[in-house]
Amino acid sequence: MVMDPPKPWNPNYGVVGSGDRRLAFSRQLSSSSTPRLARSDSSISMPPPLLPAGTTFRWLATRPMRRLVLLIALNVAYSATELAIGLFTGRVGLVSDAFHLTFGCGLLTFSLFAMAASRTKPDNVYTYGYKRLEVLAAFTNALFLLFLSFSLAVEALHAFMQDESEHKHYLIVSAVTNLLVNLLGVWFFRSYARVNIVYRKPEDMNYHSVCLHVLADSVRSAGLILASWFLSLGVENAEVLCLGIVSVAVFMLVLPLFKATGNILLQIAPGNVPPSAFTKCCRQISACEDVSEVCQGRFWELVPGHAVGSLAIRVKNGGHYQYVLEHVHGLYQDLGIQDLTVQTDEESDTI
Amino acid sequence: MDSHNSSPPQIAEVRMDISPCTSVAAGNKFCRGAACDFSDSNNTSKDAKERMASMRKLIIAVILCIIFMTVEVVGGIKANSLAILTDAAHLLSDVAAFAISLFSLWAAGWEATPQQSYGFFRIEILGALVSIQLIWLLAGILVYEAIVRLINESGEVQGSLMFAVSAFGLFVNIIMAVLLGHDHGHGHGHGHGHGHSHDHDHDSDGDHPHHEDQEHVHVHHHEHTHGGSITVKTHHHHHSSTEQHHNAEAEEPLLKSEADCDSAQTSAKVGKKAHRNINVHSAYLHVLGDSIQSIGVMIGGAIIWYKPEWKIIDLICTLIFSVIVLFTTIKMLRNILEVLMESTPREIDATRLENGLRDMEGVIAVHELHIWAITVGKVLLACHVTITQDADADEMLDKVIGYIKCEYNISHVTIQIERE
Repeated sequence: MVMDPPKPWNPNYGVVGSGDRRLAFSRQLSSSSTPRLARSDSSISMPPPLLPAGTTFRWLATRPMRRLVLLIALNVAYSATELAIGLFTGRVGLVSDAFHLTFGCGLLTFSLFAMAASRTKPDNVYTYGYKRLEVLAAFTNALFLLFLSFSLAVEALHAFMQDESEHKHYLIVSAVTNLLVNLLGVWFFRSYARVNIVYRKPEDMNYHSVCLHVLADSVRSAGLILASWFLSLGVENAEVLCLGIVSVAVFMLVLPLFKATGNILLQIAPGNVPPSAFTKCCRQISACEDVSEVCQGRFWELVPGHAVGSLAIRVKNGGHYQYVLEHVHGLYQDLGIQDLTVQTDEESDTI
Repeated sequence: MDSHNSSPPQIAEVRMDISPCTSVAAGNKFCRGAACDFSDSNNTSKDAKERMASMRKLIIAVILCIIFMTVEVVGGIKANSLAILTDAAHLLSDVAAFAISLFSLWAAGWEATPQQSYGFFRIEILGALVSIQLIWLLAGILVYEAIVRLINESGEVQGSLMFAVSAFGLFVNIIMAVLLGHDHGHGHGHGHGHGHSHDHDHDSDGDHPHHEDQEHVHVHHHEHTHGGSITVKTHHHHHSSTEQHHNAEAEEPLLKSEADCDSAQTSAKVGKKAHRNINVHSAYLHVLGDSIQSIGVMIGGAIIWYKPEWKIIDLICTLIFSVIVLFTTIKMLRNILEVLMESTPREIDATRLENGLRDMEGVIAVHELHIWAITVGKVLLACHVTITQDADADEMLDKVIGYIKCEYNISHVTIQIERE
């Protein structure tokens, strides 16, 4: 995409009315003192951290992290209150809701931890760095949401069999509060409130998973509120219907993220490069006059945006393999694969 | 030579490595057409056999579980007791965990595609991760149930029923733990029987330095795979090397070192235990966790039976045992995380490897060294090696690959040789 000259900050860029609706982006701080960067796909960078980069402040380094800390704090406070009230008044519904929230908080904390830890430099043991943690956190979030959808389905089945429809007013209060807290979370991460996103950086996956998490929670609370409203209207089986719809909705929301993160963890070939490009590269390499055979081309994505590959090439005896190396590296860099290891073996005459 | 091959697949392996000097040096670097690295016929037959054995075990466990679960469901509906139905739900979770492990085992055997160039071995790891998440989820649910029991002041909870149901659950889980944990004896007899007999042959000749001091605590589950195939190759070398040792002087050091390190590996491996497949191990952990929880619930039930006023002890008990269960999963979770983060496997010392490479003559520098594992036991290495101007690139490549194979037993290696 072409780099536009610096324009006044357009709040609708990338959301409504822009060309490619699937691009994920992160909002610039409108109040920051740094000059407004031109919008371009390759250099969407977070503003520099407002706090010094000491280890104690690592958890508050970027804006999404600060928002996430706020979200987690709210959730923890809310679930602790709910648990306390539930224990003292003996209401099981509140306790179960509090437990559910606690699990969610734990997951959001893991996401936050991944955001903080992924900035660490690669070391001896983790030679590729810690960016994979973000993908892992996204995967865990997606997995939890799948479990949630399954448990909602079980709850719907339970309601169907038990056929009890009591009005639990305290549950409605708790559902409304839950909905408000989660809607705040959705607002914080609103640029990721989409089902299918093109992931360009590792943080994209993490933010997307957090957004889907709070979105799913708010859908669930909304479903509960709707169900009790319908029940009060006298609609039969309202609870079953609402829970069923919520369960299916959460499942459909989460599935693309789950598949994308799972694929990266399974070391699938880089998604942004079509398979035909790889074959074309192979052909271009074999067409080189010094090369007799190309084999074992393996490519995988460490995190979205960072592809790694390894290749083995058989070179004719006495060929200029240094030139071949540079040529191959150049070819693959055009595809966007920076980390490449190429093994050149000379054909030995004794075979 | 053929007298030592007691099963058909091993005979096929010997026939494949017809020319040891050239194919060992060159064949390991190249792919022979379509069959590359992870899909050697050497490994796939052993892999497939081991996978079938694990799958058989899991299928038996699943069937047993389903039988017990139906018994409990029927009993629970007849007696109209929520406690029994809850225990049946826990058995259902066991079935789910086994199903995940079975699927992972089956999926790991899929052929590699251009999109998934390393094959599907990672699915094992992801399946184990999902399984462990299930364990954590269940621990949380049990703690929640204990709290609910505490809140229900109406005293509907009968200690005797709790005790009986959890005793039955414990009995079922112990049967399955024994079934799943039975791997040690089996694997031992199978793979290492061959290792033993070959090892004696080599020892009697006594012409190898033994690399016994390797930090090769190589307990990965494809271990007796390697033991089987390498043993045969070595044996072949041994016979042919007596003729070719004198003929091919240039290849002699490489051959001898190959034979050396192969035999050393067999002798080193004989002393190690076969390790469980990661999926069977995670299913085993699941069952173990369930039995620990059952013990906890039994103690709680006994206490409530004996003294119904001390309900809080039930909750404390459940909490303690849940924490114990979580501790059992930590080690496996750590292994899974390390593989998924593409970190250097524990058994390989990256600094030592890098220093060893740098100490080789002709090597100026080593950079971009990455060692990572596809799954527990399959390790890959990639690095860039800068050599001096006058060194022979091909010979350096052979030396480096040979060193890495010998010392660290990493067979999937990609080295980029650069000149200054």
